[in-house]
Amino acid sequence: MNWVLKIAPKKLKEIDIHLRENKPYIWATRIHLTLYLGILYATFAGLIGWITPIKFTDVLSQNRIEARFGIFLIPTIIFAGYLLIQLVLYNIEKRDIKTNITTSWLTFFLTYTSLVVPFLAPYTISFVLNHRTANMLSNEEVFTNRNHLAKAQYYTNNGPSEYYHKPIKTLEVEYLYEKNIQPYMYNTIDPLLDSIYHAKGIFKYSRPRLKKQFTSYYRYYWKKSSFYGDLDTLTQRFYDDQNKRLNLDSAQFYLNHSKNIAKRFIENKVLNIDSVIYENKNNIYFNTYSSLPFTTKYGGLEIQHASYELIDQAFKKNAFIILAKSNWIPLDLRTSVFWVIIGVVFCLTCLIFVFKRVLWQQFLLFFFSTGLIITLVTVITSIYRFKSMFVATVFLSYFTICFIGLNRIWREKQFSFWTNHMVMTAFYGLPYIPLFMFFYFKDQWKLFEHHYFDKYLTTIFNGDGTSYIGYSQEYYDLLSSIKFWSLWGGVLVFLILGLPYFYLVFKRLRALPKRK
Amino acid sequence: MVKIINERIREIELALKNHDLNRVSRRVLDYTFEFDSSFEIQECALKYRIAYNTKKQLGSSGNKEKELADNYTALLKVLKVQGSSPIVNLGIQEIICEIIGIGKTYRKSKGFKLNPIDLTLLRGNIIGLVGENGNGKTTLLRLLSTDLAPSFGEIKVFEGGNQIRSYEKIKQRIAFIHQRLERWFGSVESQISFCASIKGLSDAENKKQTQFIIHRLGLTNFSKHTWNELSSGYKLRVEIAKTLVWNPKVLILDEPLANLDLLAQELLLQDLRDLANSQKRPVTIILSSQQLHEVETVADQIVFLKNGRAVYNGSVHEIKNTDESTTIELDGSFSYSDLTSAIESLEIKLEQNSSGFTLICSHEIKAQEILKTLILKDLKVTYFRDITNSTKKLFNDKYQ
Repeated sequence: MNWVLKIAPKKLKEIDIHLRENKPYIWATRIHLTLYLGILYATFAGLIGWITPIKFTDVLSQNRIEARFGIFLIPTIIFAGYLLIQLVLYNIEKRDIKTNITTSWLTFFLTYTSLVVPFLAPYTISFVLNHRTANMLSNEEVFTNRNHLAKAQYYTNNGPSEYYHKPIKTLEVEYLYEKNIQPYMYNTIDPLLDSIYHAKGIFKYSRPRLKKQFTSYYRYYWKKSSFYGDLDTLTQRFYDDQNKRLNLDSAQFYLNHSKNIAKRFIENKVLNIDSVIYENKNNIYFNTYSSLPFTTKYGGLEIQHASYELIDQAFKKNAFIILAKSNWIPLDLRTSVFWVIIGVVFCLTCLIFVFKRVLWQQFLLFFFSTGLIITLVTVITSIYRFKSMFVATVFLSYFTICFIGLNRIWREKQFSFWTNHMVMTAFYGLPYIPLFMFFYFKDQWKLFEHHYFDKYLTTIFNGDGTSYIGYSQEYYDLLSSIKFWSLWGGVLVFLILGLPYFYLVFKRLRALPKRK
Repeated sequence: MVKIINERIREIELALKNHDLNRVSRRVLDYTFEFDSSFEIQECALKYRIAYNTKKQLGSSGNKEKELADNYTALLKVLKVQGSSPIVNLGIQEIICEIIGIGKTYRKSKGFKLNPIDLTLLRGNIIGLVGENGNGKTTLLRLLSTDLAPSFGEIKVFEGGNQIRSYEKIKQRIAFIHQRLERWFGSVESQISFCASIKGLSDAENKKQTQFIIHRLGLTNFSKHTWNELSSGYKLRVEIAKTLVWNPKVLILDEPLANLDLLAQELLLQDLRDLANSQKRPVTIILSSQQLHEVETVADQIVFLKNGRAVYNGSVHEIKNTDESTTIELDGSFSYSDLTSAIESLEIKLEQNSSGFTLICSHEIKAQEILKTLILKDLKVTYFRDITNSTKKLFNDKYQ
């Protein structure tokens, strides 16, 4: 990256020299140059975002405006590719550099940061557009419109995507007809309540609240709602309560209220409009609308027209702006692409960590041997049609053998093919082994169907009035927690204990005399 | 200690007297850095060395050379008056590596086997590894650097009298410069400084050592050059600088003289000798070469390999005339018949080869006697060398 230094300010050149002469292991991560280039790149992308004209129609468009800037993918890939070559070239760890264990953490995180910068820099354009979108309306206007939106949505049944505008009587009757009420109640409201209990730390059964700190109950809920697409209104309210009003109690209250209406309907087979009104009196949303005369509320085209207008004004005009205002993170960053970047860069960093510490022949040898083993296993299992249990057990045993076997490196007097293979397999497998074990025990051993988990069994109603015994939402929540911690626990163990241990192992592996 | 200092001063004075400014500038620089002279004196020695190197590049001579010689005379006086800081532990003659019966067999290499070799490496010694191509020199060097696992035998590396067992630590003490050099990027100075920082030298110490080694090895005029701008001789020099800057305990060089001209060979060997003899940071050097004469002039110990067997393994000064013969190499402006007739009175076996003639006779006939005969016969001798006590004799087929 010498050309970068030619266009760099004097201070950066000084930093470069200082790092090279004093902290070469940091210098070799190219972090100072990557950050500098990243800032330039991000500024450029930000400026593009700033000068791009945006309109309401763009904001509301299905094809988000950021999509236009996919062209930034090209410089990003060039930047990342170039950086990878640099990281490969500056592999000072092979030159018996004098470092200690702590540098293994430092260099890993700096290399990771270095690699993630090219991918994240173009997101500046989303940040800027998000900011500009948020500034299209004042806070007061947004607040007013949001109330309009909430009121308007109360008069819709199928949510903002369809913009139905019917009086509440029609709405409720259609909504809560017998065929749909039970799945609606058991498949949607209960999970919603579960998620609130989850957030509040209230569970039927005592167990560690592992996920509490790491998951957003909004995200959890949003995910659930996507299963029941016709319930977006409820979703939106719940979302509003939790994220905009930050009022969990009111969300819980609303859900209980909805549940009560549903229960009454199930019990009486007929929707008692008085009971609906009775429930609604206690509803915080209803209060804002209670000043209107009853006749206006429950009948005629007037209210249809009014609700249509409210929806049209409030939702179409403001929905994305509200989102922009309430979230400093652009929508794109919350998508899976962001997590893909995080994951891919993690894998790349792991690859570079090893490449920098072993001879390139050893590195290639590992991929060769792994390819060979996978091919053999695939061929054998396809010929003899082994059960998945057997294949999974073989793989788990293989990893276990690698983890145990790599320790023989401390006794070895010369380099060996198998030790090399075991060390690298263990290194690359460590972050994912707990997750693999989770699926192994879950799918192969059916561990989570043990009678201990029977307490999570409950009656589940089908849409046609039939029912069956199945696990409650809390059970799946528990599995989700264990899966979550299997993945992140593995990653944490890898980062905290794995890195320093493998730092020593790779040092030893490289130092071992060769056979020929 | 005082004796060593006085010897060094005397050596510099003699070089100065003989107007060998190259040697003076190198040895003064060595002296100031080895004996921890004051910062001002070190700077001064560095300045004069730079002046010498740049002068050489510009082709200046005359007054400037005299001016430099005067400066060195003045500096020498200061050095004499000021004396030097005592060095507590010189570590010379300390055993740093013991090789016991080490050897290597290759499964696929038909018949080749490096037979067991015993070697004791003393700190500050130079070991010359000589032999024809394909006789196991590089294999032995790789074994010594722990790059290659021995099939039998053992290598013991010591530091402060304690054996180091970890390969990682051993590798941090041994530097191996291969015959084919690895390409590097950036300028010479940045590379050397980088190598120093990799080995833990930072800030002022890094700068000091980098500057010292650059100017000491005559790289002053090449410090800003890149890989492509250097000749193969200077590339090797840079490689040595990159290695020496971090002070390895053992320096292994595989065929370092192969691509060098005669002058460069001589200069390099002289530098290696000086660096090995360093009082502050003596380094054990093992070098393989086929330039027997050149290696013998600097080495303390010679290992001669023939067909994977150490035909000779011992001190340069103890090479014995095992077959009790006198062997002479000579060349000149005369024909084979002229030479035959000139020495017919003596019982001498004459062999002609591409570089001249080889005379083999009884040990009772001395080299001086042969030379005298040739002069009396008025033969114009341009090259005459008595290899009776040289390993070059070992190239003879009968030692196979």
